[in-house]
Amino acid sequence: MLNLNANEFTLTNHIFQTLETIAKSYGYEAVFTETFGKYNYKMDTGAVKIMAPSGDLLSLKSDPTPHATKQIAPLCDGYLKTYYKSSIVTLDHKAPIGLKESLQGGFEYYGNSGTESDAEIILLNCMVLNKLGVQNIHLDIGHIFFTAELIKSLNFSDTDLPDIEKALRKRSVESIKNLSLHQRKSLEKLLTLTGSPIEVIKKAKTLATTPTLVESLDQLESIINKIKDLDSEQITKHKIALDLCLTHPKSYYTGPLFKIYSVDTGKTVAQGGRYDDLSKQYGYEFEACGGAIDIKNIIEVIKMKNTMTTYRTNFVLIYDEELFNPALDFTNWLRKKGFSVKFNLRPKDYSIALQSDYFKSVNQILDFNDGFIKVIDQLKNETYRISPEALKSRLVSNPTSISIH
Amino acid sequence: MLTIALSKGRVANAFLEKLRVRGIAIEPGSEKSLQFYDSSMQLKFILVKADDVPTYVQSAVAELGVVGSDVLKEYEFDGYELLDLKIGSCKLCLAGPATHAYYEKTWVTVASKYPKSTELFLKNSGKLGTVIKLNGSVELGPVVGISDVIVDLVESGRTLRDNNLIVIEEIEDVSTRLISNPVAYKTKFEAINLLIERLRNIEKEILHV
Repeated sequence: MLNLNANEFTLTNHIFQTLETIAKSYGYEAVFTETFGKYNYKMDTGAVKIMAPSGDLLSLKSDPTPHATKQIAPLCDGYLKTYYKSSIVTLDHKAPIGLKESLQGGFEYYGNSGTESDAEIILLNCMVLNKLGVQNIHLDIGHIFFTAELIKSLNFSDTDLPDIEKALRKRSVESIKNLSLHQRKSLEKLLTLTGSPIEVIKKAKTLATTPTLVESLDQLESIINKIKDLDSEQITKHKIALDLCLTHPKSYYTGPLFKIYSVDTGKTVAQGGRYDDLSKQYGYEFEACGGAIDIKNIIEVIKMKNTMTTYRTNFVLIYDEELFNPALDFTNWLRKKGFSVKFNLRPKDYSIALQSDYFKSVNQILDFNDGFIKVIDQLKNETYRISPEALKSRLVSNPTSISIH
Repeated sequence: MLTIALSKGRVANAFLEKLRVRGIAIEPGSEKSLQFYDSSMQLKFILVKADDVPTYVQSAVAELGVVGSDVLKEYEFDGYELLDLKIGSCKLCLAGPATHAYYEKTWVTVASKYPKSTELFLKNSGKLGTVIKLNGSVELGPVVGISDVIVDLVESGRTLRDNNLIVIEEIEDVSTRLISNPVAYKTKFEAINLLIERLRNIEKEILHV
């Protein structure tokens, strides 16, 4: 189900390593999330259900956040910061067998209700993306209470709610054309409330008629200011926007939300928010916020920007039986210098083999001959002959011409 | 600049005409090329097959798209539907021979270009059946016996009458929508909203006449 080729798998590892390095530098601890959990009808919508031999109904992990929360709950006696790497399986009618397996990595910050924790989580996700070269991003911040409270204050009937939900999700004014003029005008204002934080907050204050609405806006303003304070490298500068229609498919979110998009692909690359009530599901009570990166969509951005070569094997060295020793010596020299090398006896159908993924996924093919090497540079699309010694000096003098892991 | 993916043919022509009415200059005949611009070079148009419009928008190649709501439903489009352009308004209908006792049957075979919408309709109406995907001339389904009934777009109903079919049930209204990728909507918010306002004003003016 998780259809990754060798390059994508290498890249996935690199993404996880990047997340782990950043998490550790901020004092986050690794948490392992269990594969199965007792089925919870509230938490496990979209999860695969399995009947255990004991007769218990279990769910296969479809969302690491509830699993992580459940696991750390007995340990949480104050602040706790964790990170995870996980594979998840969800029901997806678009997938060939109706199931989709994907990879997710994320950060969770427990026991802190302050906006500095929301800001830190958002910034950590941005830092991972920035480190991976996904820099052309758009960061939306919203608040689940703002939308919910505004809808409540406009006294809609239950029959209007599906249309309102559609209007918010699709930004479609047509969906609410049957509402009263006052209701429609207020919702239209909400639908167009997007853009620079200062402008949006100013406009939103005209809609904030209840203490909850005012409090939500204050919270968002505080998060944005704290992100600016924490973001010493200014990776989020000019990239933050407020979107007060922001919603999340998971029902356990209780406060500020965020969503980070890649501008290059238009896809979501990270998202999360605050979920203070989730621990109550497991008999505990502590605040929490978190966010996760979307590995598949990040790989898509990296592929699109053609920076995938950094994660490819540098060389495959092909030799004939009689040249085994000098070819191995040359390979070992390359490996000592930090290059990644595949070492292979010349395949029988060499020209056909060159078309396979095994060969196509390396940057250069080194065809080792007696006294010379035929170099096929697959990145520059050029072929040349060079002596082993000359190639060594070239690599020593300019190692960056070939990316080293 | 905004890139707009247009569904080739009647929809594209009607949309371009709307823009011309609002003073956006587009050279007549530009649409013979698959890619062209308005005279101020603020809008770039790409002409694609209707089924491909959501793909262009979803993958951020085009910031906006113009396509029927029938296509969006089949594609399960996940972006924004900003405006009903009121182009090509028609209805998605269940139709069949006047003699077919649809409501009495427990199992029906339905031919359609819209298998997802058809399956959803059957499910919502508690009907059991098989959906056969056809790419065109769906009205032939009951005539040649490949299906009991059809689900298709009905505008004037003439094609149905020509094939001795009647509308059994209207499923939903269909019309052309202006769609956007969420990121494009946010990053080019001002330009997109300006265009929406110009298009909305046409509707208002028409209503005032």
